[in-house]
Amino acid sequence: MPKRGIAISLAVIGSAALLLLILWRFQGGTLPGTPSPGFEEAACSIMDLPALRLQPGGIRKILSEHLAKVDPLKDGWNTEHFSEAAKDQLKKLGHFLTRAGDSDPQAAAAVIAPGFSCEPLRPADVHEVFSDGAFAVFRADPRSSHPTPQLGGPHRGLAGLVDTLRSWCEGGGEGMAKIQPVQVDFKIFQVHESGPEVSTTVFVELSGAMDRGHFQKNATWHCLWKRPENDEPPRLEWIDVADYEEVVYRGPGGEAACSTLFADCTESALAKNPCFKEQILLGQSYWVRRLEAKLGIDVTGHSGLAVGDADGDGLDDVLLCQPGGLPNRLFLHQPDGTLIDASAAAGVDWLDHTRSALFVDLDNDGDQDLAIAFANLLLVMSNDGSGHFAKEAVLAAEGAHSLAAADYDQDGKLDLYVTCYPNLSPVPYHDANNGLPNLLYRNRGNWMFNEVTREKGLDQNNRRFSFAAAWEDYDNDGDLDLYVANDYGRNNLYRNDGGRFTDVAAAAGVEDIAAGMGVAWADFNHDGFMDLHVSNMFSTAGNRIAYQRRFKDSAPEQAKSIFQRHARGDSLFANLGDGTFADVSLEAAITMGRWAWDAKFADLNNDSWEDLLVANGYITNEDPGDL
Amino acid sequence: MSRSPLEAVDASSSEEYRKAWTALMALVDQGGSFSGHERNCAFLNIAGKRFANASAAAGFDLTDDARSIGLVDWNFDGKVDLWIANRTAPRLRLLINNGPAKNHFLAVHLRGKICNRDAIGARVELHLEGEPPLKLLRTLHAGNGFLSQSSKWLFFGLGPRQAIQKLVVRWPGCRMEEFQGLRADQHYLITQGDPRVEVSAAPAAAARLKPAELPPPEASEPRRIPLTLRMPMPSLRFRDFDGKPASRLFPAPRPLLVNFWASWCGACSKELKEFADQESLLRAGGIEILALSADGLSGDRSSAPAASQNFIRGLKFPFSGGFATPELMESLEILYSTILHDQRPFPVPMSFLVDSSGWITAVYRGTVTAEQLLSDARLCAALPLESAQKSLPFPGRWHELPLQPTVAGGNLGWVATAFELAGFKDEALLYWKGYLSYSDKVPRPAGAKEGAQWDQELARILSQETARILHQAGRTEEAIAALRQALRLKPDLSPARFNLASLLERMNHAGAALAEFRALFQDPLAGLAAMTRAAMLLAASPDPGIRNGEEAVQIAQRACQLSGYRDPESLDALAAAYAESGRFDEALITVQKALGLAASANPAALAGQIEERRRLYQSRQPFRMPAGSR
Repeated sequence: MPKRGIAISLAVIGSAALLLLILWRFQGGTLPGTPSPGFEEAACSIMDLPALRLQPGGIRKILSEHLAKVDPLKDGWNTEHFSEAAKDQLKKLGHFLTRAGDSDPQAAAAVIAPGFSCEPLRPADVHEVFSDGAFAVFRADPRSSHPTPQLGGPHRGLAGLVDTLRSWCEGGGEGMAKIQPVQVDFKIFQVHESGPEVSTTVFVELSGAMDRGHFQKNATWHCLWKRPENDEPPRLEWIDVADYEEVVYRGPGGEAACSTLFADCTESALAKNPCFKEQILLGQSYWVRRLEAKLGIDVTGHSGLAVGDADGDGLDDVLLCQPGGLPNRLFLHQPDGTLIDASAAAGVDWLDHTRSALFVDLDNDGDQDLAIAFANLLLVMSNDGSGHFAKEAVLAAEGAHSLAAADYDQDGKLDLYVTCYPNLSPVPYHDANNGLPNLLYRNRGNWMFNEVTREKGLDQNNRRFSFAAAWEDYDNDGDLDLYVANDYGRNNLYRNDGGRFTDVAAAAGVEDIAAGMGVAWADFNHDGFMDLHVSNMFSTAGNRIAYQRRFKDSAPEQAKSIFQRHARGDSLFANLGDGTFADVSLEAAITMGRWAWDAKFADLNNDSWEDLLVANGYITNEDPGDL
Repeated sequence: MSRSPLEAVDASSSEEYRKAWTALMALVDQGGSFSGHERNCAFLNIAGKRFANASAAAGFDLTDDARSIGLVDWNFDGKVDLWIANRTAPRLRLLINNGPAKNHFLAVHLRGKICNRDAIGARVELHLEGEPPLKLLRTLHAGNGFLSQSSKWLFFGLGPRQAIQKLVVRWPGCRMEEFQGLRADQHYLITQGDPRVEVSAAPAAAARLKPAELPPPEASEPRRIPLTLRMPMPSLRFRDFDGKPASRLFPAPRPLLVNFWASWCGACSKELKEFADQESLLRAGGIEILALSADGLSGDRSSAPAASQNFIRGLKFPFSGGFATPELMESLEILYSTILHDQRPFPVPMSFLVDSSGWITAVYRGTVTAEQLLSDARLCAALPLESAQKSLPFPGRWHELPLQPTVAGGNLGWVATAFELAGFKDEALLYWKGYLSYSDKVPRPAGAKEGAQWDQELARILSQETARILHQAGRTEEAIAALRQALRLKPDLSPARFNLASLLERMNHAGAALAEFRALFQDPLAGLAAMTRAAMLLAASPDPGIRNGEEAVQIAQRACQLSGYRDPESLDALAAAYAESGRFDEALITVQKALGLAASANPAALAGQIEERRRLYQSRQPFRMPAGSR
């Protein structure tokens, strides 16, 4: 979007400048009583163009001072630097574990301090809490939070560490004995400094394949480190296991033997299309270096997908949205499960920067029409019944992102709601309300849509940075209410009362002041009311820019807690049935969805309980490190 | 509007945030990752209480930068499969659910008759028999999560239960309906108002897709980057092999390849040799080459400029050559990193193909073959719209082609601003000029309103950008010409006219300046200042042919009336006018008033200047403006 917005912004600045009568300052004098910012300010007013945010190009020099801030070392930010060093140390343990058979205990020796001790890494009270023949889950009872470090655990010194590492690895629930982990990940998510010691809370995930299945062991460790001297790496003094869980999956075996629940069938489904190799197998980082930004492409890659039956053959097809300069792709589902690219023939190979799309029957004629969110408008296309689409309407929607259709007024025609996300700096960061309005378009029939946002009360709290929205009847009163996830601040729950809306997010307890990115509804606890999941941001880099640096010293406690809440991660709200919700995110243990975008409830194992899938990760480039 | 409890705390932080964000994004453009390499998460719902992290066990823990998930039963086996859209490769992933069929399921597809045909918003309750009975809920959504839409099939996992008591559908805005006789492990089509339920069979050739791990994406460098919107080549100044400054100007008779190379770079010497070998072919294809050595630019001693000379001479290189300058490299880097999200350093060799009017048509990172050059020479000859379409990697259709003047021009303006901020004024001017001339290359926006907006935009660029930069560079005559051009496009652009008059005054064109000031007298915004300045000119111009005390008094009085005798500058002008007319007593009274107001006015220097004039009037002398500074 950044480049897309330039010309528009320039034009806006142009007329604004005329209105404000920006004049130059000459030695002869200026217009009395009129603002005369002079050359420098005039240049700044151009600099304020939001797109420059993503376009540092020629302003590199100006930014060098800020670039320095991003490096934790130059920043003088000790905890961040420490966390990097500690993670390197933990990775050595991971390395030791993944080569258990032939690993040299000395590798582990480099990680611990003299006098090291730890609790058993596989707690003694691990027991089965769930089993359905496919998945089995084992847990230890959670320890009381933040235990006081008590040096002198049962496993002491290098021998103790190696012993407990090995028995953690090899021990396990149902048939997991003698399993070799192939992957060990550590995520340090809290660092506390106190005197000569530093304590960290670390999320550990160890996993690997086993016969006809896969296992993983999830733990939360409290680690106590000896503060390093000079450039020495920090050394572990003590590990305690605060939380422990094992998950085992056993597949059906046989012909389609696959060690995990999901098998990647992308290649088999798509490879016969030339665009598979030429476009699908190339990521955004490839294209941003080849396609000019003004085509609409940016580094963030916010382009989604829609599943629907485009050609009316009873099989779901897939429309993949793509950034500016690359065509969207419509893949038609063949009876053998493979797909054929029909983008051009269907008339949907748009090169415009596309965010999202919906297959919906907008004229009730029995086929799936299309609503497509480009970065600055909505395009509505009709389907001729055989998967050929024609332009019907163009609706204004600056900053369009997610689409959600519903017949909010129950007149039998589907209406469209679009969330809009501006290319601006959020003000204020934690509760930004300088964004773009989301829009409700009422379907009047004959491909005519009226924008009724204000008329229907959806203009309340509607200048946010909105990534996503989903309709749901949360109060079981027979009409559809609307939840909107906003980045940089509070979200909206618009209650529908006879086709008019009121924002009741605060009263319902679902404001969820954080970096909202996605909305999902499901009755996850079988109580007859729809519960709410909100994807948020969990990110050390996000924390870094969001709050820790700025708020370290001077900010009031209230601001700190809001910023910390901002970085907590995903949220799950249990619908209490009385119009309010309870935040059960922590007890449900779903907060660590990382830098989350889409989240979906889906019953993966058909056990009647809806599970949760979270799509995450912001920007992965070739650099193996991370900011 | 919304509450904002911490506004005060945060007021200054937004700018900080923007800068920190820009800095992070710059690192991303240099190849850094930002919350990257994250593994997608799958959480198993354990009886509606605590979820278990089963990301790895489910095979969902891919490190993709995933954005959207579409739920679907792709192979009609009753288990949910996934389409995932990613930022990274593969852009689209299909995950097939291979779980054991131990648990039962039910899938339903709704069709509305009275309500919307898709039955979006329908609430479906599945009642299962058993102890205790169980009710499962689904709502049919069209769009949820993030940028995504799932299949309109609704899936229910039944666990070990098979006995279905009933299915209740609350059609949106319509009566509730109950459906009976459903069996587990089936896909059903359910139509509003029709109690019969229809079993939907899987397609004859049910999906038999093979799992396969996709190879990790190849880290490939961009080689050839054809520009969809050509960009002016920054000032092509270099040094010849004798170290003397040299330059190339455009338009030129034919396209030029500007090639950067280094004597220590093997690929460079091979490439230059190919150019030399293919000389006649290249010349026949209309291509000229300027091969500039980057030796010595990095401060690296191993790359001695003498080596370049020797190499070129040894090769008997038939095209021209020389040494690149740091300024040229920096200007190209600014250009490159502004139009592409790529701030990594340039490699060698690196080449820019410039069309005969001086616009860059393609960029090559690394070597380029003569064959490719000959093909791209044809691209140079194509019209912008045609070459833009040819420059894209795939065919497709545009709803809004980003080559309309407002968008494309905005891009040139963007680069111009980047140049100006980096201190490259000539390049900034070149790009604003490019913006202005771009309107000649593509159709003017259709429609009277759009056309007028475009004129306004051009006038704004001429007056606020081009003229401003020229003025700052001391190129006043050119600045005046730019302002005149702006006023031809938009005669009512009063700030431009005021600036024009001021510049004319400074250039001692008092008569012309006066005419421009007069043209602004009726202007609601600039009128007061124009009258004041005109009155002062008439009262105190060093040119006696201009001075006219009587008219000066009239105009200054109008200005003072307009400002309610509260504006020190118009009072100052009135006093000067009185003095010029020999009315020194009135001049003294008026100048005293002006002084009183000027004490609190901006600029502070004004009071001092008025005081000097007061002394002149006391000694019964009129004020004379100094001659303008040419």
